[in-house]
Amino acid sequence: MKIPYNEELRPDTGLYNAKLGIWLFLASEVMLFGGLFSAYIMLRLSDPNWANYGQSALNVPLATLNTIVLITSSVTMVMSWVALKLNDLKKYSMYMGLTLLCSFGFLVIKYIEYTSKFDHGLYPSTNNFLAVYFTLTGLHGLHVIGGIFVNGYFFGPGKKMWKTEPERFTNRIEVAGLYWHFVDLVWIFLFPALYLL
Amino acid sequence: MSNDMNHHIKVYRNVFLALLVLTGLTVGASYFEFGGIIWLAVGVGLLIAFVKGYLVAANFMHLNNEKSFIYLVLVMTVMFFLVLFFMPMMWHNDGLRSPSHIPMQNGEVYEKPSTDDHHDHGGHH
Repeated sequence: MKIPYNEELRPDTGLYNAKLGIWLFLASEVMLFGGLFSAYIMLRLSDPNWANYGQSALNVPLATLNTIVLITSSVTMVMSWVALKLNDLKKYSMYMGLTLLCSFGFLVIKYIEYTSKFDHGLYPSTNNFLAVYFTLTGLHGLHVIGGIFVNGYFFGPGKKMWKTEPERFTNRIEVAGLYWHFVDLVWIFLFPALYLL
Repeated sequence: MSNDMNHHIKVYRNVFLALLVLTGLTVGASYFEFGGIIWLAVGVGLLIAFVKGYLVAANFMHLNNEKSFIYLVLVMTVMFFLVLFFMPMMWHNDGLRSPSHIPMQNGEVYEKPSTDDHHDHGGHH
């Protein structure tokens, strides 16, 4: 039996089902990160010792580089969707490959940051700021890893759907893109909140 | 379709450039003193973040041209988010500036009030 509304739009929502699904999922993600952001603000505003917790020791240039890497990956992600809309599978593969490359780059830079913190004896248990920092960036990092699995699948074995159901595959890439842009969006707020302010 | 997509590509390129500029601006602004006014520095930082967030959501996530059902979902999300965000702060409605009863690592609240402790690193407030 064919699953309905994979390609054609459902009359009452005006959407294909997966798009509504991903937006509901992203709504739950907003709550997940929102709770942690709220905790961060509470802890920070109520802690007179905050300035001594080493926030200024975070590596701003590396984090700036990571911001640029993630923004670039968001652009290549949306371009991979454009390539499919233009019936260009080769270009799709190139842009999706670039997205994956940026994702791994982001994780490598994050790894360098984490290990340099550990080398200086700075752990999540050290103080409230580092607890917040590792929790938020760690959770975000897990989302990047999750995105790599999804995008990796569409870059590799998942691509064969293009031959049989091109429109459905294009929708899949749009949905994966929505998730990936959300991960980018979270970082856009994490970066100034943790590193700069 | 092709023309439509060409327009999309142009928009995405411009958004990309804008995001890069704004990233530079955020970092630059963080080094600016703002006359020592902290809320102004935080405000500028958040404002830039919101502009960047808007650019991503409106263009990459196609929210500038989406079905009303999605907007409905998002309005609900924002409402619940705001409750989640401000509820804990309202519990501390004696004001955010009163930290006394929140457990803190390295804070002085849970330090045992002892007279013979000469190794007090917690500072005196």
